[in-house]
Amino acid sequence: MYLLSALAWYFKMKLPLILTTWLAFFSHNATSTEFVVVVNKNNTINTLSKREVIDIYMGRYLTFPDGELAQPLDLPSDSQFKNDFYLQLVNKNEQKINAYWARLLFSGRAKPPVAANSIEDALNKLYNSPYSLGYIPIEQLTDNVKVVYRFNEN
Amino acid sequence: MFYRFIMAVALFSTCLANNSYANDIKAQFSGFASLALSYSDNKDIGFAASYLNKNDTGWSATRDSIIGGQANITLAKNWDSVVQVVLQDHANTDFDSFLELAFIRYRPARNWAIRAGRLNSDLYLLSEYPHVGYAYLWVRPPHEYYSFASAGGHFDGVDIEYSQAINDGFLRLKLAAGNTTAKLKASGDDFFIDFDNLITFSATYALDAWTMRFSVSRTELGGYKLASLDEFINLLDSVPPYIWPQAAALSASFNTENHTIEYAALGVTYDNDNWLIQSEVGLSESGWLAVSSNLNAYLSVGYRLDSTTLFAGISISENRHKPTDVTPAQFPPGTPRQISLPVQQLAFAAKDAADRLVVHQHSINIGAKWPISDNWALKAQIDHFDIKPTGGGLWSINNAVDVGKRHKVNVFTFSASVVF
Repeated sequence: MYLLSALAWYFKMKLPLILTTWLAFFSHNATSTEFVVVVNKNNTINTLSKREVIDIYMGRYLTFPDGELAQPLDLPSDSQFKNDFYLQLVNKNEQKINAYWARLLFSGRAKPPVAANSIEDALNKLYNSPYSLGYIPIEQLTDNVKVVYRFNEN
Repeated sequence: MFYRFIMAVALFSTCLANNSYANDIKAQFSGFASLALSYSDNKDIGFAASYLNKNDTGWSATRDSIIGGQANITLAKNWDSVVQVVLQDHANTDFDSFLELAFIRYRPARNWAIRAGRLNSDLYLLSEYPHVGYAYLWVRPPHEYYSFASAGGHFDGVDIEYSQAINDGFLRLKLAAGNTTAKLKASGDDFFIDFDNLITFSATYALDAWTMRFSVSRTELGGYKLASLDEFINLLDSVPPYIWPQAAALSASFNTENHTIEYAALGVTYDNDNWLIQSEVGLSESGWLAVSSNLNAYLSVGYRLDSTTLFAGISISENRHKPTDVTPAQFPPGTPRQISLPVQQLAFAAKDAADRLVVHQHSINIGAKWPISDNWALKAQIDHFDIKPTGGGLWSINNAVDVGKRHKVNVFTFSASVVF
């Protein structure tokens, strides 16, 4: 009887905490940040497929599909956004992406995306360069850039 | 000569990129390093991570240590250049031996790239970045597969690449042509080997977690530079056939003239979630005695536990043909000792040299890689090598009596790799 009371107390007091922790864990792993991929407003590209975003962000092609130079931007490493973006894009965490880019850079094949200092810095670069391609959380989207890919569309 | 000119232009553009007069040329500098301490526990047989490096036994802080710097220079739209210098424990210390990349690239269209100058080979999965320890699991690429491959790691020439997205995958085809000189040391003397008319074709296909590469290569052996080998071949040529019929055949086998090396390789990588599995198989066919015709292969399995990756692997390199059997000279009764003794000594030297060049070894390894920051990784690895009798071609063996013995070697290595 005492044991049942103790279990009841435990679940009443601790279960919400456990559930919260698990939800937080899974929401973290599920990378709930919703990103949009954006370009400069003057870029003639209006839409990209996920495959085309992967091709540019993984250094396979150095240009947009129309042949114009593409300069991809990364958000800062310590923001968690970069990790979330690559998990959603190619199912690789930032550690794997760093090793991947070490391979590409030092094989002379391609240079990694330019690292922005913050989301604001990324938006400034996108605003100022017709070649830039970036990703930002959808809640930070402004009218100064053009959305070319949304992750929930496929 | 043309490729030397391109290399000079690439090096010049690196200097120019630092100059304020060249506002339109943009340069980006980066680098990598591995600082390693290792111990090889067999004092009879010297170990080197690469065929081009010094062999030694016991403790070493230079055996697997490497530092490299790279400049990526944007010259104009569709034109760029890459220069890479890698310092490591090479036996030959000419600047030329440390210059890994110096090319100019033109991209005429999205799918095409043409490079000329000093280029990296595309033969193996790791052959474009064998020095970048941060980029792979091990403290060094598998010895059986990559040690001799380092002799042709870069070449001076031209390559053309076509790349194309195919459904969810990505295909790269590359055709390369050029030449290279492997710069080694033999008993303290320069030993240079020219590989001429090198042609390589490779196809790489990446699909989700899989990457596959198939390549074929062929090269003609050009000249060589090694005074003692000249002398040795001249001595073999001077032996009358009726005394030692095999001398002429051995002379032709030791000489580089009219010999080719062919190579085919297949590699697969699977990198998904917690598993990182990689395997390559290569077949070589060589008419030159100094390069044995081999079957090389390895399998490596890594498993990620949080950020740490534990790995284990097995590698083999086996001679595909029966090693050259040096038969003793036959002397007619009454042959003066002044004639028979030098020929017998020559036959003994020929047998020793032929036996030393055969590669036949197996190894297993276990280890771990710990990333400690965005750009640093620590690694620890233990290798156990089993070198068969007359199979130590990748090792340095001082005493002739040890060439025919079986050797077992353990190599313990701890390293820190960084990219910057």
